[in-house]
Amino acid sequence: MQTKELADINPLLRNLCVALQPFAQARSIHLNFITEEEKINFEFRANELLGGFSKLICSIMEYMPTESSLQISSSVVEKDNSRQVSIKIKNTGINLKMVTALINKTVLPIRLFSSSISETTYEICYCLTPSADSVVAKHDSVNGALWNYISVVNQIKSHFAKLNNPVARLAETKPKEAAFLTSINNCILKNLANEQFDANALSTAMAMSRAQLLRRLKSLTGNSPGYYIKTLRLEKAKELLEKSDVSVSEAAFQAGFNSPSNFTKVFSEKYGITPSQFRLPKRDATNEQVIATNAIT
Amino acid sequence: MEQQNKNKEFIINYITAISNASSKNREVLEKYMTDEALISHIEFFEVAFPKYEVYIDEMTAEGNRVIVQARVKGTHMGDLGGIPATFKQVDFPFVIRYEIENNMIVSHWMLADQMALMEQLGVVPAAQAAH
Repeated sequence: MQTKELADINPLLRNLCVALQPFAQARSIHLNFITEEEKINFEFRANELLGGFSKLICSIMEYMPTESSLQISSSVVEKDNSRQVSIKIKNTGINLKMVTALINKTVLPIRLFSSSISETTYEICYCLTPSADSVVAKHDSVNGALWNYISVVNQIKSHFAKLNNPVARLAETKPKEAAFLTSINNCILKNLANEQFDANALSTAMAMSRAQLLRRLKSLTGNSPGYYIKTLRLEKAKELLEKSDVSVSEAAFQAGFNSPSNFTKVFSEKYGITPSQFRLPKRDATNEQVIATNAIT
Repeated sequence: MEQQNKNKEFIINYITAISNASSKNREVLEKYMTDEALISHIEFFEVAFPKYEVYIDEMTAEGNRVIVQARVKGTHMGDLGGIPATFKQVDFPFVIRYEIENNMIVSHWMLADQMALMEQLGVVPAAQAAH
């Protein structure tokens, strides 16, 4: 069994939120983390806790309607004559009180904190006092936490790869629709650098009316053609920033954004950080490593 | 996908509403369903287990159908098909498939663990129920 490590929980939760942003945004859910304390140090098994939280948060989001929000917060509370770290997960949009699947399937010590007509709050508490059987890792804890974080991020990526890739998802059940989506993707990618390429141009290139294109694309991806083109532009720009040395402006132009400032605005809305911030760590490390490093410092 | 999520959301809202309702009467039920067989079943069960609650253990949506694996929790306070009130608490699993059209349940199929129910009511001995 992995030993408990003395570490600050806040950066781990904050960066878990960052890692889960694409999944949240795909469902139009606003996910954020707030804390009342600068640091909350206590002993925990990072792998167990991160795995548990990522699964729980994703499960809750799967039951939430679009345009709702999920807030994770941490604080220190006095309870049962001891100081405890209280991590609350509050969703809006739906009351999940009767969905015991969320509580039954998690390894976390969770309880329903409160619920109202369209909100639910869960609470997970950990004692801040070191327990008698806990062992503080005195060496290699940084590498251990880093490895754990990367491992969890990879698990999340792998788990949601299919959700984020509609072609792969459709290929199994609707091969004709998968082929249609592939031809749309190819058409957009071929014209990506052309900033004038919009939903009208796409419908012309696909020899379909705008209404036909909207109906078919919306049923497959849940997005309008315009939004779908913008998503592909962003993915291309992100890929350029990740895998090449082009500047932010160059990535913006190559992906068909008419100005770097517009690109920065759209990118920040989608991924929660600016392209420059996303790009900065590239020189020395992978994004996951930098996020993980931030998480444990 | 979007419609399936909306159907799941509808069923969660429906189950939460009926579980928290002071009484599962026709007026409440007709906000969520046109399925007369289900309305009759719920009214019948509400007499035997007033204010019973339903907890969702698992949920799947496909097409216009939502399948729920759930548990009923309640207290036996009224006649249940000839079994007089035992005032015992019950907690037993069931599976139900709802068919949804325009945000209304139009039909259903259900299978409950009746042996567990009878065992908890003391109608069937536990040892006998195990065989």
